[in-house]
Amino acid sequence: MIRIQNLSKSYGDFFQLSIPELIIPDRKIVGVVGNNGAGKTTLLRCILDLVKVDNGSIFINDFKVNKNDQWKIITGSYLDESFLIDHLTAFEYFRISAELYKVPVNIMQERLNSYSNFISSLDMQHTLIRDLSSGNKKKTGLVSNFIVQPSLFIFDEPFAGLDPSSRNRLKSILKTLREKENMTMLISSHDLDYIYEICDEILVLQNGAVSQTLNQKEHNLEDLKKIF
Amino acid sequence: MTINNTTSLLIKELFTIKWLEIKRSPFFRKKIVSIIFNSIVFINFIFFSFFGGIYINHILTRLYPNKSPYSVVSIYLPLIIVISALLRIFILKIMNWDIKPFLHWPVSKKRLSFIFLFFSFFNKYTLPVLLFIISYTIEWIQETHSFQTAIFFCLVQIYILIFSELFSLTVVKSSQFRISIFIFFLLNISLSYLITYHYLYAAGWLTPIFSVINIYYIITNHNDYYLLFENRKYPKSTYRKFIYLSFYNEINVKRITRNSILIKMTVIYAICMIAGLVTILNHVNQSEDPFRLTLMLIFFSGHLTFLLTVGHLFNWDYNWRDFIFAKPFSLYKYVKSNVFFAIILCLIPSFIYLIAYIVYSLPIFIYLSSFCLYIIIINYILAFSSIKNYHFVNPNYISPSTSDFRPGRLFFFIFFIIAGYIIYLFDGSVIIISHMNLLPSLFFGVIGIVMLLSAPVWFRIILRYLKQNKYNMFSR
Repeated sequence: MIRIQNLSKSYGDFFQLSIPELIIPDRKIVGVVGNNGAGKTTLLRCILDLVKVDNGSIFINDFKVNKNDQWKIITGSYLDESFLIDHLTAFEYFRISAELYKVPVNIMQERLNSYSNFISSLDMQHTLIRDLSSGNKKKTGLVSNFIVQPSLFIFDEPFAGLDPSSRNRLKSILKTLREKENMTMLISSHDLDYIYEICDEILVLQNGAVSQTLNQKEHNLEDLKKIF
Repeated sequence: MTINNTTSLLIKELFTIKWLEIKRSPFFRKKIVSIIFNSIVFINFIFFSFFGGIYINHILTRLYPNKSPYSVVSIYLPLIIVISALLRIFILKIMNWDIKPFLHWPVSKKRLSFIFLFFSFFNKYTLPVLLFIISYTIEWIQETHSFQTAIFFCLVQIYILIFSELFSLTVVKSSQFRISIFIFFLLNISLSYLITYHYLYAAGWLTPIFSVINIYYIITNHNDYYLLFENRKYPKSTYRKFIYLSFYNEINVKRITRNSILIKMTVIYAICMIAGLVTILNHVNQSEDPFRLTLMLIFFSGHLTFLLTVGHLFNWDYNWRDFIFAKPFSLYKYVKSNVFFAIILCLIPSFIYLIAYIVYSLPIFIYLSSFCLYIIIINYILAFSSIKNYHFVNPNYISPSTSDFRPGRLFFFIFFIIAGYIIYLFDGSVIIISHMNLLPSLFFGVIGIVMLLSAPVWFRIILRYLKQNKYNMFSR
């Protein structure tokens, strides 16, 4: 699904991301963990072609991300609230997302209803996104991807800022989407417990490089925690 | 589903999104006082821009009876716009953050960035110039009944305005646009040459060709959306390092606010200072009544300072003024740190002013300089008097301002329009106080003096009040 070759990205002299090769397979949930400044968000931004890489290539389903925009049709992402259009209501934002991904309104509504527990605290119709709490903004961004169900999700710290019940609901939503819709997911997080529980593989980033790859079958949570 | 289809869908949605952005602007959710005040400011500038285009010919005819006012405007309007773009190259600009929410959607990024470049053109500082051009074109048609010539003039000026704006938006940030520097100025110099020698028809026909060339180049080369996330990139060129390192407060303000307003303000002020010196020397030899001149200039200075400065008090977002007024601030260090940069940068516009004065005998730029001088003096007085009394609520966090106050372009627009009024005043035939004698001039002068002298007082009072009530005023 995602193939990275000889990726390098730096910000002047201050930071470097260097990944010679990385493959995110189909229908897997892959987690990315690392300390602050390890390069998690930069990696996601490179994959989503939000920053210009210095060297290397990134392919999503054989589409080179910086040359061809067709990969965006099968990709949904949410990095932070600056990617929301804050003068819209949540419902308007969902409608535009659904329209761009060619999801009919009735299906969009059905899917929204299925996530009603997750977004119960969200006033979709009347409150503008900019007036929502940060947790509800995050829910808006996440749900806008859930209702369109592309093949690939890329989320940057989806659990951060959510209350414990919402985190549990999000966890089960992600698992359900992977099992029923065969989705591929790439999730970065500091929350080792949740990441271990839902991810098939976990990439540990240190100093801009993938230092280790862990999986549920061969490693347990303690192995992951020991790294930090 | 293809990217082209979704991009077309998004283009349709964009107009709805933009309309909702205006309709749901935080501006309309503030207290009625701020809405009324900002509306007055808005109407004031619309008035100046529209009627400036209508009445500028009267001013120019009285000043230069041997020249056609149309040729004067045709020559100097593009030069002013291009000089403004030149200065904007040196005044670093932040990229438009509006594009960010759309980048993760299935749309063509090149088309998207191209669309947002043109959306950027329609801002509150370019639109007044556009209004001026349109109103001047209408006046041209009414006076001369020469429809084709007027339309060609309009097209040429709008072309130069659009591409100077796009040029300054893109060229500083992208090395791929170095070639566009030469293309843009080559094309615009040739247009100005054609206009200067009265080949307006040729300029008018060439405008669409030049537009296509520029648009094609931008579409095929523009990748500026990457630069939204490159804020951590340290400027590599020595020149840019010099800009960053030569300021006392601007470096820290820019790191926190990601806003280049202070740099722009300093450049504008520096230009004004040097140009003002030329003005003073010129006034010594002029025969105008210096007393009336001073009174009217004080009136306009106080009036415009009020409009330009107080507007930010009702700004939804924090901006650089909130920060700069919160910290202990040494005006001496601030001015001293800018001296070398000011001297270097002011040589450029000073040469331009000198050429205009010597070659064309046009004193209009000298009067513009005097106006600039008053503005800079008044703003420094305001800054100095306000800094000691305003205590910022939370200096640790300042969000990037989504409603940037960009005085750079605003100043240039004001130069052209208001300078015309000032020149009109010199002649004693003011648009609103025609054939006035000393008493009305004195009246307006007193108003200006009161506004200037009271500025520190009302500024402090309003700021203190707003600090206490800011969160209540900007209610959700």
